[in-house]
Amino acid sequence: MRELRFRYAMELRFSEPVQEHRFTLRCFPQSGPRQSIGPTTLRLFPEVSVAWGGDGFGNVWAYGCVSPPHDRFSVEIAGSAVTGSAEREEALPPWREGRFRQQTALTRPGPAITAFHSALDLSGPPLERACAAMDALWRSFRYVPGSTDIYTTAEQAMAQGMGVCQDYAHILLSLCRLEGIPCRYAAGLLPGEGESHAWVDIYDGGCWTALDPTHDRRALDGYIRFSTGQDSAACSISRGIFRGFARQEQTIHAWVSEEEEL
Amino acid sequence: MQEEMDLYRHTDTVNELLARYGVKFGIYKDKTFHEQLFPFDAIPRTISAEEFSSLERGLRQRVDALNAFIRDVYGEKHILRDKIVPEEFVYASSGYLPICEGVTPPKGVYAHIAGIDLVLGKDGSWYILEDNLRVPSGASYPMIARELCRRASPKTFTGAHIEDNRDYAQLLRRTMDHVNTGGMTVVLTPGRYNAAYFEHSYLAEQTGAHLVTGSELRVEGDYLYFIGYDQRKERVGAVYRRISDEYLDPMNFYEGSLIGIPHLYDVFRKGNVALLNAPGNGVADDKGIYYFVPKMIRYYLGEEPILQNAPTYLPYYPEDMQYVLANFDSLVLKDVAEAGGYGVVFGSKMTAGQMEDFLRQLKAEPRRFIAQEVIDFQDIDIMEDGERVPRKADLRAFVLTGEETMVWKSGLTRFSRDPHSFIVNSSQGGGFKDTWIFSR
Repeated sequence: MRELRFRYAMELRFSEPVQEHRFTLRCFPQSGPRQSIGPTTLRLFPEVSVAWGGDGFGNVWAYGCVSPPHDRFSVEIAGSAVTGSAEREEALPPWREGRFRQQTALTRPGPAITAFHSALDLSGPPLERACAAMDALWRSFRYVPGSTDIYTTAEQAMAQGMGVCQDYAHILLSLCRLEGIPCRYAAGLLPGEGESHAWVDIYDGGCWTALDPTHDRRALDGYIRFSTGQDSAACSISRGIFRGFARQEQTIHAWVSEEEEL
Repeated sequence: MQEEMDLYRHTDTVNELLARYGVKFGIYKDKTFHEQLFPFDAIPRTISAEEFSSLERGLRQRVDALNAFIRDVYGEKHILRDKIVPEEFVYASSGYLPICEGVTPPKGVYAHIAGIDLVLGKDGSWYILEDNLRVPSGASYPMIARELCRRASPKTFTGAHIEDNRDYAQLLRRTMDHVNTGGMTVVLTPGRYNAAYFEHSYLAEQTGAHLVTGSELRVEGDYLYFIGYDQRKERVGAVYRRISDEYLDPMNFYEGSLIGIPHLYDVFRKGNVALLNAPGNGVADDKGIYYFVPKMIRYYLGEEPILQNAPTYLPYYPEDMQYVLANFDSLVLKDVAEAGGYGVVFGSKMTAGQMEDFLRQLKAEPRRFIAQEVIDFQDIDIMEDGERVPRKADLRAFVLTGEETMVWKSGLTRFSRDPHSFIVNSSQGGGFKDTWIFSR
C-alpha cells in the first residue's frame, strides 16, 4: 500500500486560433479494489463546463467544447491516491470478457510478432504464460524514447526492436491474445515526473492482474490507473477535433510522489 | 385484369412523375458518383392475405429474435456462454462495436427499422436472404409509386381489395415516438448527394419530422439540440439517422467524419436521445451471423422458425468446408464483409484461374465467407418494350419495432433487368415494383 499525491497537466498550443474545439479527456482515476482515489480537482483553460461520461466498466471521462477562438487549451487534474491495496481485481465471467481476447488494429500480429511468439516456450496458467512472455519481451526489446508515435502498431514496434511503454504494452497484448488470454491495455501514472504510463491487465482465474512490461514486473504499488480498454486508442487521455488549420503542439507534465508538491 | 391493363398503360407517366419528384438513387462506383433513375415496373407483386399473415408472423419472430440477440451481445452474452454462436463470429464481425458494450438504448430497442430481404422459391416457400438492421432503405419507393399509380389510374384501385401502404409514415412515426426521450424528432441525412436523399426527405415530410444535416445538430452538456437558422435551440429526443455508424460521431467513431455530430454517442449512452437504428446493430446482420438466426429464434423465443434461411454453409466448420469444396459449382459464395450485391460470386461462373484464387482465399480465411445453395426463385413478369417477360425479383419487407413489432403491409420488390442475373440490388442496375397485399 502506498499513499501518493498526483498531478497531470496537459497543454495544447495552436499555431493560430481554433474554434469549436471538442474534447474528451480520460485522466480521471476511479476508486476500486486496487486503488482508492481521494478528492481531486480539475482545472481547464479556457474555463468551460464539462459533461461526464462513463462506461460501467470503471472508466470515466469528461467531454465538452471550447467554442470561441483560442490558441491554448490546457487541463490539469490533481489529487491523492492509495495504490496497491489489492493484487487483483475481480473480473466479469470469461464469456463476458471475450472482446479482450481479440486483436485490434494496433495489436494484430504480423511476421515479427508471430516469429517471436513461436520461439517462446509457454506453459501453465494464463498469468504464468503472460509473465514468461513479458520477461522474454523485456530482454529483447529496447526502451528508446521518440522511436515510435501513438499510431505505431505492435508489429511495427516489434519489427524495429524498440519503443516506449505503449509499444511494450501493445506487444504483450498481442502475444497474450495469440495465447488466447483475455488482456487489456491500462493507461495511468507512475511515481516520478514526466509522461503518463501504460501497462497491461491479464485475465486469470476470474480476476485482472496488472503487469508492467516496460519494467518487467507486476504493476502494484504506485500505479494510478486512468482507464482500461482493448488498446491505447480506447484509452487515449486526450482526444479532440476543432475548426481551423492550426498546427498543434502538446506538452505533458505528470508528477506522482509521496511528498506534497513544492 | 382489365383494371391492371389500364395501369400498365400509365407506366411511362408514372416513371416520368417519379423522375420529376427526384426519385433517384446514387451509387459510388470506381470512385465516381452516378445518379440514376430507379425504373418502376407497373406489374405489381401480389401477395394473398393468407400468405401475408404467415409471412408477418415469421418476420415478427425473426426481428424479435434479432433484437434479443443484439441486446444480449452487448450485455450479458448468454448466447456466447451457452456456445450457440461461437464467440469469434461476434467479435470478428466488422459490425461489432466494442464501444456499445454495456449501453442500453431507450426502451431496449436496437433494430427499430429492419429491412428483411426474401425470395419466393419455385417450391412456393419464402426464403430469407439477408437481414438489414443498420440503415435499410427503400420504403419510400413503393409508397410514392402507389401514390402516383392511384393518381394515374384511380380505377385500378377501386374495388380491388389492396391494403393501403401509405400508412408506413404512421408506423414509422409511432416507432420514433415510442423511443423519443423528450423533444423533437428529426431525420438526419448526410445531404443531397447521398444515394437515398429522396427517401430521407420524403420520409421526413410524410412523418412530420424535421429533415436535418449534422451541422444543424449540436451536443451541449448532456443533451442534443437542434439549432435553427435563427439560432433557436430546441432539444432533440429521437434521431432517425440515415448515416452509417462510423460517420455518426467523430469523437466516438471515425474521427474524420464531417457529417456527424461530435459527442452524439455520449448523450445516447446516457439515455438522453434515441438513435434509430441503434449503433452496433451490424453485429446481427453480418452475413456470417445470418447462419445462426434460426438458432437464435429457438434460443431466445423457444419457438421453431416460421421462415427459413436459404440453405447456408459456414466453411469455418470443417464439415461445411468439405461440403463447399465438393459442391462448389452449385453454390453461391459471399464475402461477409461486402454488401449491396458486391462480393457475391457463383461457383459455376468462375474461370479455372478465378476459382484457384478464390479457393486459396477461402482456405486462408474461412471465417470470411459463407456458401449458399442457389435458390431457384420464382420469376416475376415485367413489361419490356410492350411485352411481358419473366425476371428474377426479391422482396424487402419492412419490420418496425416500437411498442410492438409491426410488419408493413407492402414492401419493396426489386427485379433484375438482366434476364441472366440473380442479383437484384438497385446498385447493380435493377428496377422496382410495388407490392400489393390483398386484404382478403
